[in-house]
Amino acid sequence: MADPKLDPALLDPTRLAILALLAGTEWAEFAFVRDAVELSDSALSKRISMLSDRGYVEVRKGYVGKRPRTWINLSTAGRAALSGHIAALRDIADRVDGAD
Amino acid sequence: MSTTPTPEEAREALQDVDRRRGQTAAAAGRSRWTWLAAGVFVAAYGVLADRYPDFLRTYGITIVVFLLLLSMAGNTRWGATVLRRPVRPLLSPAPTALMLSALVLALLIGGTALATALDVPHVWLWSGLFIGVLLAAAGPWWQRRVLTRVA
Repeated sequence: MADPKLDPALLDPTRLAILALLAGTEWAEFAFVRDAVELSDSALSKRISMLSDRGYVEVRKGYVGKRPRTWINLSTAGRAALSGHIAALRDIADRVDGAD
Repeated sequence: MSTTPTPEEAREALQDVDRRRGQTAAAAGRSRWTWLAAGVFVAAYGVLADRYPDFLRTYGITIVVFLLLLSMAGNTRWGATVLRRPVRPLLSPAPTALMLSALVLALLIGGTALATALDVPHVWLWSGLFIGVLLAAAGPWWQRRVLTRVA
């Protein structure tokens, strides 16, 4: 099996946090993710767009009553990228634990 | 963070990932009050079935269908928003967990059916009270266990 690889896109702590939040969900509301990572709407939108361009998240828009809502979910590619990245981080942490 | 994280940075990133998973699990769960209300409802249903069987003969199906629809609606994006659940957890239970759940369900249903067949008095009353207390007391624990595992 190939060694897990760090994903350059996930070296940004906020992007990693977004994927980690979505990992245990089928979908999450935009507002939940925004509040959890403590970003403004526009700052989160930029990051979501970037992750969406890479195929890591999928965005769905709709209405509840008259209020617009946005839901985000982790794609299969995003789930694989997150798993690989976490495995690579564990490798780094373990290697050093062994060297200490 | 540089291109390759230092060990310390990797550890911090992993801790943050765990923290984020905890946030998701907390948001995906129903409150303790919801479990308590569900327990009280089931207990009340058992009492009604025992004391006022005619009422449940008339409205029982309606109540169950209403609750089923409410539960299904709560799993949609629209319903979850209305019920203030910002997250739908991704549930993929392990085979052993599924077996255990099926066993508990079979015991509850089988036990009630057996007690009814043996003409045990107030079967519905005791079943409702038992399941109601079980839901109210063990529901939050079971939910936390499931959600922290999937998150």
